[in-house]
Amino acid sequence: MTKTIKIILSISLILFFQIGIFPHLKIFGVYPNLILISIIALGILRGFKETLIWAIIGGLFLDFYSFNSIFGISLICLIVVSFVAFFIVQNIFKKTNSSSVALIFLITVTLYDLLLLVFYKILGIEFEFTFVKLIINVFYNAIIAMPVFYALKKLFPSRNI
Amino acid sequence: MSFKVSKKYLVIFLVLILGLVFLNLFPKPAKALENFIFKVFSPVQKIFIRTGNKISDFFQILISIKDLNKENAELKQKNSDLEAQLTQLKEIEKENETLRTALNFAPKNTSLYEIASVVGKNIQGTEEWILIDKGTDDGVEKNMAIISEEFFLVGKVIEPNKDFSKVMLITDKNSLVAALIENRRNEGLVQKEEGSDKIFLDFIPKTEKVEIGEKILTSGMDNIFPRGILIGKAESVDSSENQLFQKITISPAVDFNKLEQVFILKNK
Repeated sequence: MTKTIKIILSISLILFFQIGIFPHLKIFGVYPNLILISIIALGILRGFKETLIWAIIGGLFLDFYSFNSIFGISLICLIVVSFVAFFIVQNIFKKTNSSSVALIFLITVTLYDLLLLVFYKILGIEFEFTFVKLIINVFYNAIIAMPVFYALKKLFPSRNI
Repeated sequence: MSFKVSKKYLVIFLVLILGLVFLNLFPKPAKALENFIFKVFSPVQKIFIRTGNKISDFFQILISIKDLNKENAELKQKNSDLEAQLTQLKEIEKENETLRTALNFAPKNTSLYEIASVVGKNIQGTEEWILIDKGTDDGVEKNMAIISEEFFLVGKVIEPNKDFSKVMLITDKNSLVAALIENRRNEGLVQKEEGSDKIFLDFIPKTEKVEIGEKILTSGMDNIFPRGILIGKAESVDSSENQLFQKITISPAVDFNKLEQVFILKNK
């Protein structure tokens, strides 16, 4: 129970930074998604089992602070990307370094955006998509993700890395 | 490469999906939880939003320190111009009142302004909206116009909750505002340009020679935004041959990133 409360408090803090600070970092209409970055980082560092509860709470917050008419889309996407991040670490990059971590972020952030796009298309939600914006978003998130990853690595030392 | 997902995770995932389907079919519990979370978080969020704005202001000052003197002189000039205008307007108002009394006209129905704080923002970058701390309990309804403290157009209420409301900004892809160019009275629609962050005024005939810097105001034709609210200024004009109308890109009067307080126009 206390663990869940700690997670809720931590994600709340991430959310406050996301709402208060990150909109000012807007470049070409995109800014990093700190909740997404943190969940992927935890997926790499601590594995899927531990990240699942973070992904559920983080996904709920993302959904509350989104404009979607369908509740839960971000939550499902977040769970899938945290699993994929863990899967890549376990099966592809057995020895991770900065470049492999950056590559995992590039892959998973792209996957997250594409999953959202697929959900929006299937459910008929209007969504503005441009390839250029997707590329900028993916690289911008991956760049910001690196310091976030190493900060989280200190707070949540990895079992594998 | 091993790919094993234990049954336990599949069950959790299935339960989650079923739970989400249930919450979408019967949204009341999710809305109540959303309202509760907004209520708990809004005081802290206000602090973070204010701090973020202050940090951003500090860096902007550092960047623009060279231009401050020039800007200061311009503002002083603008201030004296506005003071002169205000005096004139007061005179006109007095005259108007006298004429109303003389003609026995009922006073014009004035809008009710309610102040609200911005307590949340879009966090995924796919939509442009803000969260304000007034909801249906405060008389807020869908489609009520939202303006800034300086009386510039911000957007409209799109999702009123019990104590909070989501406001769609005029920079959102789904926003449409009936507008006109000041002094010219040509009417058009303000919407977001696809694939960019800019908003533009459409449906203005090419015969109209629009100058950069001209003011774009709401026209009131959409029955949502009252006439005469400043949207922004013309930033560039595109009247290329392959278009039926000219496209006037607008620089919005509001800095949407720095909104802290807004007014809700209760009289639609």
